[in-house]
Amino acid sequence: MRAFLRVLRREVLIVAHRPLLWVATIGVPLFSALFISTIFGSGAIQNIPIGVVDEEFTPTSRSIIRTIDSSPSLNVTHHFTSSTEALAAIKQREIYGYVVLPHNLTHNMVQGTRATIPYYYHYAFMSIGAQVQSTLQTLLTIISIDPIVVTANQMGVVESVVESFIEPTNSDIHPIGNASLNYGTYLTEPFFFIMFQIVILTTMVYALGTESSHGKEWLTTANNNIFTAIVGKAVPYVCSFVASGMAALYIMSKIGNLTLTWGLVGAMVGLVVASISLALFIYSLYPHMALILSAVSMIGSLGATLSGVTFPINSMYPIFRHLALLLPIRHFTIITQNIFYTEGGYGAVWQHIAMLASFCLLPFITATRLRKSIISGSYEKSK
Amino acid sequence: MRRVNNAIRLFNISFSKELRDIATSLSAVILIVGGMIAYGVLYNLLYRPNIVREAPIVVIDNSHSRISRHLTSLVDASPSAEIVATATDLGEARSMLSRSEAVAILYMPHDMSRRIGRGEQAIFVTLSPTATFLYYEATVEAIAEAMLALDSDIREDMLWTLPITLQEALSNRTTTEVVGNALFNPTKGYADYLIPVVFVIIIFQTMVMVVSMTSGGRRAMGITPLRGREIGFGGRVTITLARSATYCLIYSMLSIFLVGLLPHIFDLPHLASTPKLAMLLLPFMLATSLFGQAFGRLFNDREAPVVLITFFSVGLIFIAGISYPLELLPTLWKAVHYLFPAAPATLAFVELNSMSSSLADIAPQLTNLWLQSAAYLLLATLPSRGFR
Repeated sequence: MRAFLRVLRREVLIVAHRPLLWVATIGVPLFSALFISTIFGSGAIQNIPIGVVDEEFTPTSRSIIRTIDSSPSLNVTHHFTSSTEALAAIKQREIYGYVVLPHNLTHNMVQGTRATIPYYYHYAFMSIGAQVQSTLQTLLTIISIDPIVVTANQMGVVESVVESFIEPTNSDIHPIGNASLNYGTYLTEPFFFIMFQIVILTTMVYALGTESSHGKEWLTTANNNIFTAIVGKAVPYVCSFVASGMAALYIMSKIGNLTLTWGLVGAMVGLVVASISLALFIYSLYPHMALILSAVSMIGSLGATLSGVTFPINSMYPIFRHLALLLPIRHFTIITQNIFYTEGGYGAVWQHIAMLASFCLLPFITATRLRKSIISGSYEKSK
Repeated sequence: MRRVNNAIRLFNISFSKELRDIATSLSAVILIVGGMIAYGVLYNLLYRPNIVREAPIVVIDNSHSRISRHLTSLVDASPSAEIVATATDLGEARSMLSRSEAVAILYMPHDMSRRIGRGEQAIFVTLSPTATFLYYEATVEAIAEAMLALDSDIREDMLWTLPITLQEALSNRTTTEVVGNALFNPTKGYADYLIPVVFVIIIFQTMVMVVSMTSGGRRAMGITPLRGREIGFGGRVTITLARSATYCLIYSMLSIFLVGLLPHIFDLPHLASTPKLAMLLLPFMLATSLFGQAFGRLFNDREAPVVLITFFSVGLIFIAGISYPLELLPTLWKAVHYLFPAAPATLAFVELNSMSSSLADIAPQLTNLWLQSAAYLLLATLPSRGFR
């Protein structure tokens, strides 16, 4: 116990004397939380500038434009005389979509002869393109059936009857966990923890790597017990990252839309311990700071993809589904998605809780290898 | 003339020394080659499916009617979704969502068929978690397609609800079609959208890491460019530009693979011509290498910059204005967009390569990158103390 306390005290002093470790353990997580909580603004993609190519110039076409403009998502900012002009404007990002109201549209719609309302949306920018598409599709579909409803009304048919005839079925869609489909709600919490995992991995490898300048001091302080050395080294980082993780959660709940729950706090602690353990494990396999730092920075960056937040893991090649399980962030994401979206209780994700916890065992598997490296001084020679 | 000769000599010495430093550092080689080649290939493989298909859906059919069975088969037939199970109640279906066995619930109430029979609209419910937006979108798309097909199939059965005069009027007319067209990404592929962004971020991230590691290493070892001799501003500029030239050369060669070859292999957008790409990549690489040298001056060891730069590469995706529109970013973050070379370069790269824009279209980004190059050159060279 005394040896453990000595290692702990030594590590606290090392952290206190290295500003970079302060910045990495406290400053970077807090900056990341502020960044990700504010980057999306309100999170609602609104007033997207779009254009209209009005080939008709009739009261009906102007009414259609007013209907489109009244949507909170869209803002008709440009009027064009041809599609070529509209395409040029979309390339210059002046608009993100446009609707073409063809010549004779009103006549064709009223007469019921074949008419088409084409619209175009920018899909190189996916989030904004999807919003333009869904809004225009809904609005224009309603507009397209309007003449039929008017004709029916003139014949004395109740509006609901003709609507039921045109659309006999309707789907009531409930987006669970993010009813307003807010971009900020979707990305804030997962992307903070993706960045958090990267900084934990790189900081821990850096902290281990700088031991090379202290020779065997780390091990001798621990009475040559590598397990005491590992635990004593890890505990101050676990504490500081958990503290900054708590502060980050608080920031995201106050500035962003995050709902703070004890389950989320528990998962965060699990992520911190698992990431520190993974860094210890990887470093022990090959104690070469520069090399391992490069490796963990690349592995950590892959977390953005392999967490499964952006592109579904199950849609990837099967090998990547398995490889993703080697990253703590994947298990963390599944656990938190269960908390926020499906509310299935911990029983539904017990395997992932167990796997996240099992990362703690990793450093002890390679402990003797690390001990040998420290004694032989092999990692001091690394460039 | 003598000054010019000296400057050329200094440039050559600094260039070859930087090249040697990189070639003899295993971590730098791994970062550059691993980043540009392994990362480039890996990301393409990760997003290779490109489009999300077969979103697994669980069905609760309380209607047990011809219509509900027809709707189920239509959803199942959609390429976007797949019916994976039938649940008896909401609890069972929700537990499937929790176990990630399904990503949406299609709930058909008992009165569905009866409502159609009465001439009323039949409502069914779709419940879908938004944890992965692409699954949500695939589900909504599959349901919308199925609904359109179902409506068209059962409309004839509902003709009786309308008066004869209206039936006759409707029988002679066709409905107006609404046709949406996705520009610059007609397949709506996720890889087509994201991978070009990732390419630029890879170049930025790995180059800044290697540049700042190399410069941090020089500071840690106390190495001076001219063996302790005083270097004037002109000399510092020459040395800094020579080092940048080293990185630009290495990365230009590797970029042939990353942005030249990979898009052809993986069928990604590649609309920009080589000269256009060169006109963008040159100021981008120059600005990035100068940014790395200026950033590296903040550190006295080789590894510290890596700790502070990697995490932010994820944030750069949002700052770039591709994932989230630049116009909607708060003012502060919009300003940050103009400070990091990766942000305007990503935007310009997507415009050139995915939208076939002209150089005139990306003139604001090119101007920004050249201005950043000048600013970071100044920051990397101005204070004479500690120049390594």
